[in-house]
Order: sequence, then structure tokens, then C-alpha cells
Amino acid sequence: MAKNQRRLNLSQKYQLMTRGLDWETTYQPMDKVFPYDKYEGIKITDWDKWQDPFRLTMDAYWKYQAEKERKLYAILDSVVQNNSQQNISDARYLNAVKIWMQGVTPLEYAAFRGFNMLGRGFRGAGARVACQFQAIDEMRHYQTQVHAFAHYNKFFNGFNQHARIRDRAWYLSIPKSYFEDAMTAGPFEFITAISFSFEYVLTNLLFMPFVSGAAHNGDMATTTFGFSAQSDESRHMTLGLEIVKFMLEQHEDNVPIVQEWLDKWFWRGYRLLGLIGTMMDYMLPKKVMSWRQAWEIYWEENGVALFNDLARYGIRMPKHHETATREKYRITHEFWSTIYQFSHATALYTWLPDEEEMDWLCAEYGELFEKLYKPRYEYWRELDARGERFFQKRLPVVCNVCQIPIFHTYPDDPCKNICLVSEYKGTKHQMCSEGCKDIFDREPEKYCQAYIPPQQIYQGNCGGATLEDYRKWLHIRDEDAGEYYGSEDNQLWEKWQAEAARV
Amino acid sequence: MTVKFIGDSYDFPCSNRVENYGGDMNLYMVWDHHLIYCAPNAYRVSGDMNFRDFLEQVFQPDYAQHPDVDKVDWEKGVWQLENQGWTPDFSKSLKENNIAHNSFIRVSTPGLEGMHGVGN
Repeated sequence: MAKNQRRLNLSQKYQLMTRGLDWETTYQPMDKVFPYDKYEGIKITDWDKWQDPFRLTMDAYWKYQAEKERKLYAILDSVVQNNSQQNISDARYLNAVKIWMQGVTPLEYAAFRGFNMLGRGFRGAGARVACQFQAIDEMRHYQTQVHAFAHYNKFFNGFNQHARIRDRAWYLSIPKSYFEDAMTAGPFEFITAISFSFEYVLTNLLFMPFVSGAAHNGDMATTTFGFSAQSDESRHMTLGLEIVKFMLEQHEDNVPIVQEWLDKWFWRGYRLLGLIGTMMDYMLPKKVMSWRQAWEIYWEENGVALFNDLARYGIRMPKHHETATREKYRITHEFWSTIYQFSHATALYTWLPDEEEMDWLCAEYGELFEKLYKPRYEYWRELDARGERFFQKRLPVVCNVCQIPIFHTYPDDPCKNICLVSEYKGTKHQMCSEGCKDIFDREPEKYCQAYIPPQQIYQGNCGGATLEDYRKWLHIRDEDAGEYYGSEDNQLWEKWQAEAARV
Repeated sequence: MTVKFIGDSYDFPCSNRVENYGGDMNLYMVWDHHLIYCAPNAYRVSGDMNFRDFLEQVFQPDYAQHPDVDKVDWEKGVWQLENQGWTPDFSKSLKENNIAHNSFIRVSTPGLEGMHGVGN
């Protein structure tokens, strides 16, 4: 450092914070101070090679974030003052927001916890600092989302128990288990799972439909927090790519370990995104794009190009990506059929696509949709007209890994349920796919402990054995659940429309 | 492959072991090509239950809203246990039919392949 310089520039500050303030411990061996960053088998020969492309310092971070907060809360205030809840496309849209609020917002909090652990776990100070910043980001995202959605909670059902149902509801164990699987792994696997697979490879499929969907459907509150989070997300994506390249460059023994994690977390991420794809195809009254089209752009083009770039490190495409691509014509319809028939046990409403939506789905999905899913919906509509709205009363088998009810079908036969079995310690475990079965078989000691909701219900741990008892235990009220048409949300919306028409 | 861990051992019981069912067992069953019911069903049952009773009194009513349900003859079904060919004896108990905790039973009924024959 120059002797006479009085103020440090940004890169000097970053250098001091991530290198100068760190030290090799002497009272205790480093392996005892950082007990978690070696057991996964990842070999780091030189932590100083870690380069954070953003080189963020504390003062710069506070300044950027404070500015974003000011803008965000100014807009959220105006959302409240202008009754913007009346400007959305249709009250059906809010079920997309509910699924986000119930399923994804808690993931922001889970990410906050996970990155705090990493911010302590890595022995390289540069990586620790990047993870600490991200932990603060994630907490901020959780808070701003809750604040943005709080306004809808004043008018609509399904928003009021998100923290409790996150821990209890069967359909929310899907996203919950994703993060808990990552958090109970080591720090390198966690960051590969979350920063790389989730935030880098698959983020466009997660954020794009939701935030663009919000903008398209007149939801100013959600659009605003989406934009507010966007610059953080680009930093997180960069961290994901950086850490994977760092591991691959540090030692050749790391390559097969990272490959296994990419195989696993690609598949887990893909399974989780089925829920988001379903939201795109069915819950947005004004469509952005179909899941099929999004998959083609964001995976088949962009994702594949990324893996081609990683080929120089010896990384190949993730296992079972062909199956994921093959399923693009069916996964969201299978998922919607499932939520539709189980929505009496969710804090969501479901409905059947109207004529115009059915045409759009036929155009986007072609022959298979017309042959299989369209007649299914037409039959359910007939039942509905007879006053026999279709609900499934029996609990389903659930995948022991992704925790999704096994509505999935054979890759070469969309008309036949798949259900694969692995036996461990004399107990059989069911899986939805070769992808999930591979994950189970790789670490059966871990997944045999999974908390699978229908199993827990039958074991007597969830308030009772009937769906009604279970729903009570979830703290989901009758009026939060079931069919959209005729629901309180639907009635309120119709009332507002009638009032607006009179003015 | 096995899980990597810190410490001396990593050994935990399965959360869905039979001991957690108070003498009963957990069982999964699907009627193929009737996908309006999205997934195989889960049941908590006694292994001593008669297989025909299970089929007619427990399983079949779960498909009550399917038009095929009144036409079905289970004796003509093509059966699988754990995805392997299997011939059940309808007069015997679940246990005597080799159905165990967490077993998966699959039945298809040729000629009854869902509405319009497309698997719905």
C-alpha cells in the first residue's frame, strides 16, 4: 500500500477484507477450526486463487442495498394506497403468488440459514465473505417478499399461515426437502446445489416465469421485489459458476465428485421446477410462455451450452437430462391434474382451463395434450356440471427423494404410472424416476430417514388419518382450499368487477 | 456408494419401518391406465386382511368416479408385485399372498384401459 495514500480504493478494501484480515490459527489446528470443508473429499490447494468477480465491500454493499430498499418500499406503499390488488388480471392469478409465498419464499429463508453456515464453514476468507453477503441478501428477499404479499393477505385466502404450513403441508415438503437435503450435506455440496444448479443453471426457469408472469398479470408488488432482487440474483449466479470452476481447477480429484453433485442436483432441481412450470401453464391467466418453450430456451439451448463450456474440465451433461427433455410435453399436465384433485388439502384453489386456455395448451403441447389431457379435463368438467367435483380422497404414494406424489409416467409411455423400488435395511422405498432412484441408491443411509407426509399420516403423527383431520392439523381452513369457482376469492373478485362496471 | 460423514458412524433407522405401524403395514396399489386418479394409492392395512376384501371393499371404492369401476372383473386382471409378474390368490390374506410392508401392487385390466382407451 502506498505510504501517503489516505483513503483506500475499493479493490484495496476488498483485498484487506478477504485476505489481510484472515489468519492461520495457531492455538488450534485449522482443521479443528474449519471441521466441515474437507470431509466431502474436495481438495483445495490454494484458497487465494478464489476470485470473487464482484469484489464487494461492506460499505458498497450497504449503500447499494439501502438504495434498493428505499425504491422498493416507496412502490409497495403506492401499491397499498392505490388498491393495486384490483388491477391484477384475475383473482385466479393469486394462486401463483400463493404457491410462491408458501413454497418459494421459505426457501429464501432456508438459503439464509444455509449461507450463514457456509459463511463460517469455508476456510478461504474470500468465499466466506461472499457467502455472508449472500446470507444477508436471502434474508432480505424473504422479508421483502413477505412484505409485498402481506397486502394480498388483507383480501384473499391462503396467505395467512405460510410459516406453519411450510413445515407441515405435503406439497410444501417438495421445496422444503430440496433445501434440507442440501443443508444436511457438506458446504461444497450445498453451494453446488444452491448456487450452481438452482441459481445458475435453473434460475431462469424459476424467476423468469414468476416475475414476468407478475408483470404480465398486473401484479406491481411482486414485479417490484423481483426487480429489487435481480441484481442480487446475478451476483449469486456468478458465485455459483465461480465455485464450481474453482473446485474443478483446484484438483483433478474433485471432478468426479462435482459431476455426481451436478447429476443429483440437476435432477432434483428439474423435479422441483415442475411446480413452477405448472404455475406458468395453468395459474397465469395471461400467459408468458409455456413450460415446453421455456425448457427449450433455458435448458436445451442455454443450459446445454453451459455444460458444453464445462466439458474442458472433464464435466459431461447431467445424467437423465434426456428424460427431463422428453417429459416436457407432459410434466405440467400431470402436475396440474394432481394439484387439481388434491386441492382440498392445500391452501390453494384449482380450476379447469377454459376454452381459450385449452386451445393455447393444445397449440403449445400438440398431439399428446389433445389425446390424453384434454379429454381428462373434459370429463372432470362433466363431473363438475353434475355437482361431483373431482377430488381424490385416498393418499398417494410419494417419491422418497423429491417428495412429489408419484403421478409420473414411464418415459416411453405417458399412459402408465411409474413406481420404482429400492430396498434398504429391509424397508422398501418408492421413487418416481431413475433420476430419483439413483440419488437414493447413492446415499440410502440419508434418504431412508426422509419425512414423507402420507407415511407420517398413516403412522399417526399428523392429527389423524383422514384428509379432514390432516387439513385441520395443517391449519388450512375450509375456505382456503378446493375449487376456485365459487370460492371466497372468486366471489370477492366478481364483486369488485361488478362495482368497477357500475362506475 | 455410501454417504460421507463426520464422526464414528452414520446409522439411523428408516422412518417408514414396519414397527411404526402398530402391527399394520403400509401398502401401495395402482390400477394402470386410469390416470384421472393421478398416482398409485397408499393404504394402511392389516396383513391378515383377505385379498378379495381389500380389493372390493377398500381399493375399488377409491375409483368410484371412474366409469370403468362398474365393469371391472379383478379375476381377469394382469398382476404385478414389486413390478414383477405375480398371481394372487383372492381367497387368501395379503400376507399369504407375499404382500409385505411397503409392497407395490400393479393391476391392469385388458379391455379396460381408461376412457377412450387412452389411459385416463
